[in-house]
Amino acid sequence: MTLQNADVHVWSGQEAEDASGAALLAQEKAGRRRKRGQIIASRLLVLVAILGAWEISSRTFVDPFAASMPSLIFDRFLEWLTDGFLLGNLAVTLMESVVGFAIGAVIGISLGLALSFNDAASKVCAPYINALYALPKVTLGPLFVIWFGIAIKMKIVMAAVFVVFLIFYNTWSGARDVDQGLVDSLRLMNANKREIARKVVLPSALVWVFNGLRVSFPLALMGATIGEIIASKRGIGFIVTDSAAQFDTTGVFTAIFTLMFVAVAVDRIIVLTQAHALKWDEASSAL
Amino acid sequence: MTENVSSTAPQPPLIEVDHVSKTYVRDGQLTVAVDDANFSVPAGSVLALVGPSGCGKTTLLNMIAGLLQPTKGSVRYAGSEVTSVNCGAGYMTQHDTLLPWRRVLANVSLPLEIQGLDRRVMLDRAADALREVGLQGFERHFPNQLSGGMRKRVQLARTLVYSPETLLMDEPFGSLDAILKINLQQDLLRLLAKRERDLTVVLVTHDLEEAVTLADTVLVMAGRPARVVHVEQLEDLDRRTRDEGVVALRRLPEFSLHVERLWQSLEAASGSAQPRDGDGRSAAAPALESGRAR
Ligand SMILES: Nc1ncnc2c1ncn2[C@@H]1O[C@H](COP(=O)(O)OP(=O)(O)O)[C@@H](O)[C@H]1O
Ligand SMILES: [Mg+2]
Repeated sequence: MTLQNADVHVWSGQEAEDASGAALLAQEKAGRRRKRGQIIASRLLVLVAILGAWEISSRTFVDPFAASMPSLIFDRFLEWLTDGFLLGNLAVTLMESVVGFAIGAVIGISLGLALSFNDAASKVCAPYINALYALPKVTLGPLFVIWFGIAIKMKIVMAAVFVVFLIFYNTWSGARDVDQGLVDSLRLMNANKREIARKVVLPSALVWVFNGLRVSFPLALMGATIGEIIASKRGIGFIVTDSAAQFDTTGVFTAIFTLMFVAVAVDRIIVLTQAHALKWDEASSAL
Repeated sequence: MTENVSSTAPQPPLIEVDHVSKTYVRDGQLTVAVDDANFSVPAGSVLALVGPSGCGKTTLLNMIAGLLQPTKGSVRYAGSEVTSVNCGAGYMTQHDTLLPWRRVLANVSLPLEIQGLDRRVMLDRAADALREVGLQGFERHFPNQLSGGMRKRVQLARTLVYSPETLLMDEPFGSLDAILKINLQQDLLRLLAKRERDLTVVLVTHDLEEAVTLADTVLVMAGRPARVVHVEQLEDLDRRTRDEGVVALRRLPEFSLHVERLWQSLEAASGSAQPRDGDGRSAAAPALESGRAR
């Protein structure tokens, strides 16, 4: 919003109520809806094109044994859905991811905040944090099998480890990035450290925290399924390995697409929560 | 020598800036922002600091607010040296410091919230303060939905709502349009007149007319590093005259005379202190603005 527009708004505050203002609002809304409709239609078109090309090539020159095809996957999806196989395994993977995600988030956010309030500790820890952040977490898998066995606990730990560093890192950077001018303005109002933390540092870090949460939920799913692929008898990762062992590509794709749906759905939930919690932030609400 | 700012104050001055210098160190470079500033402000008076941008006005205010410590000399407030944040002062900074995640009303009530006031009283007083600056109807907007001028007004409301005994204002009305500016100057004068407790104001501006409109005393700062080059006393434009309104005040011959004198002192200072080829002032100003203190 430009300064000028806003100023015009000041002088014409009344106008929003009269007829021409209402017409303008309606027109703007209709325009936005039309544009949104066009985008959704184009997205569907892209989807249909991809699935169509896949289906046609599998029916003509590509071996469906290797590539499967959308119609087979859809049939399998319905089959597994009705006999409860899919939901049962999905529930396991989701439980592991969500619990791991929650544990990772709580640890990451609290450590990030705690460290950000201590500048010296931050400086001392920075290189080690960077090293852990850079470490490919998959390599920890075998270690966790030794430590936690091959049951659900190991997958939860995997999911938590996959997310904790990213969430920690985002929280830590966000809390350190806080505008010193805002902090000073509260100090001048005689606010103590706790009030400054509550009223300035936390809210300003929240944008970063949310971005961290959003980016890391897929990582939690990844951690959980990798854990399942390493060793398991249940979960989406188990379906993938089990189907692959039987050269059942349709089963593999069905599991993969299910996971994708879930990831997208959870992402939407996080984005909507973010848009609601960070109404003031244009970048967050525009998502 | 202290430039004594007012002749009407028998008690010791509220703010004493005692031979204060400030040198910034950044990337191995020294910038002398303020050189040997020496003045005082009696309780209940209004002091304006004018001068080209980059001459250390914001730095001086930050030191009075206790956000910065002088390199040399000392700032005393109500008799004691300012060594940490000065809570007696409400500071309206040059760049607004509204919390972007709080709606306008919650921003204005923030100082009262910190004082621990009852929620309803707090919101009522914040709403009153908003009305005073002409922003009723915008209580539920977020700061980023307002124009620069409107944000300044919210900040003014937030500073006034908790009645600090001193008001530090850094180019408060700089980005406002002419009509609004006059209205707010008028409001501020009315407020100065009606406060039961005397309000002391240090106002930074580069609008000479604004300085003469609002202040009892104007200090002109200029040169590199900046010094106080001129002190203009305005006791002939006393507060009783001001009740007639800002526009009437500006028509007085004394008014133009003061503005003219400030103008001349600035010209003289920039002419002698900046022997550059071409237009020294306009060449220096943009570069200085970019590195300024908040
Ligand atoms: N934090 C800082 N670090 C280094 N130099 C600074 C800083 N703040 C201001 N300065 C320099 O100090 C001088 C005075 O700045 P400032 O007080 O902002 O001037 P004004 O408010 O009069 O425009 C300028 O040369 C500016 O570049
Ligand atoms: Mg400044």
